[in-house]
Amino acid sequence: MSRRRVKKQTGWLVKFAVLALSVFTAVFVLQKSLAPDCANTKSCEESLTLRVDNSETAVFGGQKITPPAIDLAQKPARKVLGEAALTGEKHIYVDLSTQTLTAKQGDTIFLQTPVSTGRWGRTPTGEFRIWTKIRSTKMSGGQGADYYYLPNVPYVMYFEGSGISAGRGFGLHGTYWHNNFGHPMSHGCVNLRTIDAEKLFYWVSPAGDEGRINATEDNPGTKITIYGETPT
Amino acid sequence: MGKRQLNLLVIVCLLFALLAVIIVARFYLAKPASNGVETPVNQGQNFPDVFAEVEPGPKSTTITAPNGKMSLTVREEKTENGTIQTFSVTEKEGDAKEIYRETVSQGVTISVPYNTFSPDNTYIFLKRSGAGMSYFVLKTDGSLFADGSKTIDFVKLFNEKYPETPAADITGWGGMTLVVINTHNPDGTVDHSFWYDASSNSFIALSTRFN
Repeated sequence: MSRRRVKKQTGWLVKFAVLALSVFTAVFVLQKSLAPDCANTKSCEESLTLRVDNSETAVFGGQKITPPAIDLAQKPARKVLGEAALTGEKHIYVDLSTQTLTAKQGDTIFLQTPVSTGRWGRTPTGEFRIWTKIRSTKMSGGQGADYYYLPNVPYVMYFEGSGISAGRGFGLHGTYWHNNFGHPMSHGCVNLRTIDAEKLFYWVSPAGDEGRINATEDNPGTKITIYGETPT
Repeated sequence: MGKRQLNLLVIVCLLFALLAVIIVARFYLAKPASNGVETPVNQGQNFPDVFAEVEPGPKSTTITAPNGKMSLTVREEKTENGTIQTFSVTEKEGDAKEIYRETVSQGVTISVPYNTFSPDNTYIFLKRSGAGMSYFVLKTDGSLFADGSKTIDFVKLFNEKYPETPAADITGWGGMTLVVINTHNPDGTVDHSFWYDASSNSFIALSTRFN
């Protein structure tokens, strides 16, 4: 085989390799763009919808759980005392290092409570706004011993911002499958005691007590600041 | 350059252009939907210690379960023989039911950890301090465990079973019946966690540590 022919064949091989690499990279990035990492890897988009599954069984930590039944017709019975008297902008702060959530209106603390943030997945830090709140949905993800399937997750407040798109499903929500607040226990969301999540759900914007309420220009979502380092 | 090579080059360029468009589009799509968000809160701000355990005082103290369906009330009464501590649970819109009573000597206290209730309120765990660290679990319906006992001191059982990695901290319920036990090595360094399964009175070693 002549040297010239070998050189020509090598040139084609290099071009083919470049082409293959480009196609692979494009497909990989396209896939990641169209399906960004969701907080709930298995349910993902389904978690962004209003869902009540009172007959399903939940799974967490390898244990089967009967989720609390949810009745969408049931509305909050009372307004929080003194809430109407508070003025100023509402703002929620989540300190990852102390695993604490503080909800303030102006300078007044409305709620301060231990929470559980990301253990199996990172909770994002930065400035966010609630873009929708959903009375109940399903969350599923993880694998092996960390697999979870949780219907009827109550009082979900999804947030977006700081590079976290709405579709990734990071939010604050009630928790019926553990009681280890003050310690990281989630796959990226902020877990609250159900009684705290309920209180927060009807306090935050977008205002309203329907099953699902999206934020709009006229009804914008409450601001959330998440900061600090999760204990390791 | 031949025609085929030129076509190939064009394809490669197009692919790179597509890649660039995707990356730029993704960056902009991921931008926050809102502007004018405040700077983070002062990180040096001192919040009240919300994790303090509820110490029974002269008056009764009540802690509500995370699902709001049950509450636990602790009452103490001083007597000549010590302090009688009484623990009662109340279901939503129900009557209080005493589930445990103990007379503790001076210097000993039974306190209620913040995460005392199991997620479905079947169990609670309590902390006895003053004579070494002791945690015990009991049922909220007042019934006995399979071995006929009212309470199980699971930290004592754990330290007997795993003397090389004694329990350092009990944080809460990692599952419906699973209490998180953090351990440490004899040299004081932290080690992996365990679960105590209250339903089977057994321990499960975990590969990582719950902080």
